[in-house]
Amino acid sequence: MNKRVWAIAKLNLKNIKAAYFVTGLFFVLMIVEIIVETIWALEGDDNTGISLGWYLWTTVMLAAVLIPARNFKRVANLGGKRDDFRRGGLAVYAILSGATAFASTIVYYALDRTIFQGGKYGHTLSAPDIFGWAAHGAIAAFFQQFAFLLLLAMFIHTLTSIQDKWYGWAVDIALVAIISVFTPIAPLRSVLAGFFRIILFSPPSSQIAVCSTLVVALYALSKLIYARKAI
Amino acid sequence: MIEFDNVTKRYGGTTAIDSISLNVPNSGIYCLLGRNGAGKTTFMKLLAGHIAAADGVITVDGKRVSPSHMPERVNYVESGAAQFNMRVSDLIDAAAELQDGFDRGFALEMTARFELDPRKRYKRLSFGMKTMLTTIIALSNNTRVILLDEPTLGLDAIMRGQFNALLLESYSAHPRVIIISTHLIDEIAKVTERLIIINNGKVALEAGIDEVDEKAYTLSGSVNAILPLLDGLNCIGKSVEGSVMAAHIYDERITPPEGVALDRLSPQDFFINIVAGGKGDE
Repeated sequence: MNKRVWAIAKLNLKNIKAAYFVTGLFFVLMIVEIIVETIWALEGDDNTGISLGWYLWTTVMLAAVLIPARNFKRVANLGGKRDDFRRGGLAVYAILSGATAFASTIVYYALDRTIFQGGKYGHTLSAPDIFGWAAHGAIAAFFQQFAFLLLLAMFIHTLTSIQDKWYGWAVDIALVAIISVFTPIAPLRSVLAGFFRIILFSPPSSQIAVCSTLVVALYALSKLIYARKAI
Repeated sequence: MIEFDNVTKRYGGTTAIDSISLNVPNSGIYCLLGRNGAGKTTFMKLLAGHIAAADGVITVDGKRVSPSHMPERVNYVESGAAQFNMRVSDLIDAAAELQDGFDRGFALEMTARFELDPRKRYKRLSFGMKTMLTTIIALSNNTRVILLDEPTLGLDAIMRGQFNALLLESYSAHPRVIIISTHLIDEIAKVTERLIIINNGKVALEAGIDEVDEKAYTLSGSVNAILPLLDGLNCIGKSVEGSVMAAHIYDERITPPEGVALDRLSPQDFFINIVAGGKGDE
């Protein structure tokens, strides 16, 4: 990573405070709720809890909106180049996805499996359990989550980057149409489910390979998008 | 250095730039003039590679410019440019990291000269100070071409004077092409070397400020005395009050006959007459 790309990565990491704030707020509110329920031994309607790990994903998702929507122009006004911005963005998403996957994996093993599942929450809905990432050990769980989060970030980044163009709106409409048309029709639904099965539920090596390939494809696509993006 | 070859830019059905051909061969401070919506910002954004031309070719130092080939040698700064809400010193450091050859020493010297508190965050600065900081960052760049879009918009007279001083300071430290778009012609005329006037998407005039000073003048006197003199002269505007006429000329100077006065035409009045045929006087 050259000096300019790292400078853009640092600028982006410093200037997504809204993402950190919202994630922190969610996290604190959830912890307060858990503490209150634990101290007062409150019983809910069921004994299923939602893992704190999910809330950490907020940082990655909001960063992928704020960076192209807000930071692109500011980086350009400081003399940053488009290619450096794209590379710096990818670096930030890799850093945030890695940090989030790491923290989320820690939460899963330290809280979800040890504290909550033995206590009030008989079952905790956590990503490593739902998607089967924990089935192959902590390291695989980390890398599978990292690969998926990086793909999610690049997807949101790409989608946000084209919102000022007509084709951005066309893609939005196409996505809504795909989901609403594919879901009720069984053969199409299975196609949609198959796609999500590959990027979420498949074995570590294939899931990581597919997610990485899609990240590379989206990154290549962003070169075309940013080559035409008005500042 | 900069060449526009038959360049056109359209926004939907509107032609913002209409087959412009222009050559800027040398370093200097250029003033880009035009009415609101004349195409000044589009001209600058095309040159910076921020937007694509519909037709024609733009080159900087022989290299073709487009959004996919943004020239590293051109730095465009729009009026009211958004910046990260960071401390002044941190913004300068960030710009120094982003740009190869950024003159950090010059930037810090200028922030001290213009009393910009390096510890203040961007949003805490006054409007004028924000503009000054953005201009300092742009001028500290080592690029061959700097485009400043309405940099003095909203600045008071003292700040505008400081801005002009900054411009000259920067130019003497790093001679290059600096193009400034503005409406305050008389003030910028003190520091600029050439004028580029755009009207309805076309280049109406490209000339040195000395040339304009020499060739732009007003002949005033009785209608009967003035009218015969206009034959063969490039009259860019005229007004008649009763039997007295004032004719604005852009041509070689003549020796006026008795009863006809020849006065210098200010850059502001020259501009009004060139783009609006003197309608701004009415």
